[in-house]
Amino acid sequence: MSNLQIKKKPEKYDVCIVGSGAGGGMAAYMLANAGVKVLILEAGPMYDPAKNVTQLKWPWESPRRGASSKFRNFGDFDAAYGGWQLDGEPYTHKDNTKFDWFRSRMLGGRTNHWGRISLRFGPKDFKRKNIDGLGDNWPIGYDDVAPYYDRVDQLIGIFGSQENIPNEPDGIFLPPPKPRLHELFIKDAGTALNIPVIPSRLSILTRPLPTNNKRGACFYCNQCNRGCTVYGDFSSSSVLVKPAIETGNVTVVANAMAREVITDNQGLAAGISYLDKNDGVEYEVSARVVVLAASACESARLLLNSKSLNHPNGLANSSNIVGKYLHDSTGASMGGFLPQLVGRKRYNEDGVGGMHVYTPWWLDNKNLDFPRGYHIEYWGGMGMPGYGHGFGMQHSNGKYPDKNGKMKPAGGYGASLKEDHRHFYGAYFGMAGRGEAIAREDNYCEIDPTTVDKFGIPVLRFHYKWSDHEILQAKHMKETFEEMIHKMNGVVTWGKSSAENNWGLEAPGRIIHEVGTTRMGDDRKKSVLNKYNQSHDCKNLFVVDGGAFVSQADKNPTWTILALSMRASEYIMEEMKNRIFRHNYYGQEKIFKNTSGWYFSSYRNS
Amino acid sequence: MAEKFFDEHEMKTISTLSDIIIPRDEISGSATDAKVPDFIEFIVKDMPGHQIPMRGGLKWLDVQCMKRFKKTFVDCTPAQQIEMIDEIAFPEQAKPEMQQGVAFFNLMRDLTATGFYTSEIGIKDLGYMGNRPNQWDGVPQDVLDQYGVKYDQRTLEISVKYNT
Repeated sequence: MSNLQIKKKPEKYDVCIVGSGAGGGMAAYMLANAGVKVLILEAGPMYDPAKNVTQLKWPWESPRRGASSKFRNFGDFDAAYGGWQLDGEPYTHKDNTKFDWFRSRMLGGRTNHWGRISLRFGPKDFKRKNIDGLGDNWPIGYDDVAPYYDRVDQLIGIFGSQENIPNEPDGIFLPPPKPRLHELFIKDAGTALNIPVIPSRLSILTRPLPTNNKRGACFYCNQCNRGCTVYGDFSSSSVLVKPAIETGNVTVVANAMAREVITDNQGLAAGISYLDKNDGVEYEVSARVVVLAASACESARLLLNSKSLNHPNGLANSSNIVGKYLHDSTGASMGGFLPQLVGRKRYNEDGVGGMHVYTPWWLDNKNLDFPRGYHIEYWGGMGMPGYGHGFGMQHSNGKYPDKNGKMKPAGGYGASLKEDHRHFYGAYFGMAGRGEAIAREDNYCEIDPTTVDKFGIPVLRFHYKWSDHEILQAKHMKETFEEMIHKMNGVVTWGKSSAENNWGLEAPGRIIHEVGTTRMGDDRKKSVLNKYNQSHDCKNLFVVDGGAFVSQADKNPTWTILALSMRASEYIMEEMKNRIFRHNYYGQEKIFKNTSGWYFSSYRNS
Repeated sequence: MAEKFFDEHEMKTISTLSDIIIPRDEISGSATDAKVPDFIEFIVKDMPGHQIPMRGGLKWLDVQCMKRFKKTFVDCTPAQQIEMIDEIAFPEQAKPEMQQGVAFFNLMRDLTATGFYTSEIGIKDLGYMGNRPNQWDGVPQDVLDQYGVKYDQRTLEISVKYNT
């Protein structure tokens, strides 16, 4: 590598966005549609679910029948190009703590395979400290974000129902699908136990959007995780980045691994240095504004690795808060078997790619021994077999009468085993809690002082411990699940746990809702970003992924990432209009009027 | 993956075992009809964690048959094979000294079942009817009636309707 050199890209951009998931995709969409010249650096390959198709494939079309593998943790058919471990890109842990970090390296990031559960944060979720004294309040409230949630609903599409539950704000919904059979049983059990079971809220188009003729309606194959060929669900790749590119204002460099945010001698962001994995060359590209959307931990890593005279502690880190307050949703689950569903009539009950009903948090924590709530997700029914189907028959067929009403010894083989597989098919179901953890300063990621990845970039080291707040919440989840299952006359077959294993509380990171590492706040000593996702220290630097979250709520983070990124993008445009951001790397500015009537400076090659 | 993990004798044993576990019946074909042994050969290379339990389990089985019948499993008569299998196929009834065989047979049963029910033959046997474009309009009425459940009025009002 004697000829190692850093090439300066001659093109100049208004905004350079690192990452193309929910946050980056939304920023690109908003800015490009306003005429801003945008560069997206994406660490993975280009991806289009209409071209990279696994939808409607049968299990036998994969030699591993869809099983997970080292580099495709969610299996052959799943749209995630990534996993808990990436080849040559390690991360480490401190003090024997545990944090599992899921990274998808591809256009659209993890939005290509996520659960499409699209919940708004409620008024209480922005001000939890006011209620229980723990953590911190957000510098914004529901009313600040609500107009953006409305616009995200309309732009992207979401189904749901008007419920008027105070902390579960209704949105602008498409009609929901009817519940499946086991979901009717769940609803009945919930009603009997005073646990609400309402239509789920997923960003899947049960009808075409009136304002968008490029996306088709859902055709109910249950495979959103594989990416949708008609763009019937929300992925940043197909729903945001693709139309952003079509404006002509967006350049995407795929396989570009960002190394550092470059700053100028005033300490302002000047661009990004990155490794192009295609040609192995190091590049620097300049932009007036840098927007990080690489995921909460990856953006924190990038900031911490961007050290300079002006920012000796890493960029945007005079508070020393970057990487701290990392938190993931809690998770615990339980599954069982519904004896009333054995030998059931066959019909196509695939439905949408996820649950048709769910349970929002329904209790008041004042009366409980843990401070924050959780929601419950459900699954079950006659799904398409994949690797793992039919495992463990010896745990079922000795417990229940067979097709002929006879009890048999567990296990077995032969014609009667085949009968059992038919008999029990579609009778299994499960449920999982997803809860709010308390953001704590001592749960963090930082730069490992001794380890670099294969690109020579210093890696993250995690330090994360659950507290009793989360463990007691998991205990409550398990008690609730068991109660629900018994009410349905079901039998618990897995997921029973005890204090010894923290009531089955998943390791942090497993729910893939990690947020909080560059949190926003009014106090620049205790936060990284202001309430517009803008760095306190570096005014032309923004972070629009989950890093900005002060607290996670008992909701999935994506809808809030989208709303905040949309809001931050409009703020960037306002600031540009007011000519706050000047290019400070290369010379000449040119002013032009774009179609939306706003003035921007633009840089063209002469 | 041209490289083979199992040798010819092991593959023959796997074929025999898989057809004992999933034989042909009036509804569908057998495990070997669904190419389950090929799937098992692939999956142990893909998931190396299965390699020792499978290889060792096959060997354990042959050694047991040698002790009992002076023959390897595949060389035993069908009646002898079933006599041996009955010792390890029922976890709750098996003798303590058969527990390693039970663990192996559980794995063999799992891999055979998953290989079979993810094949075209197996999915047809199960009667899975999805994986095709459709319009979900709820549980069929006869099924609702069978279970004595129904959609309440509000659900019917708010849920998506087609061609109305």
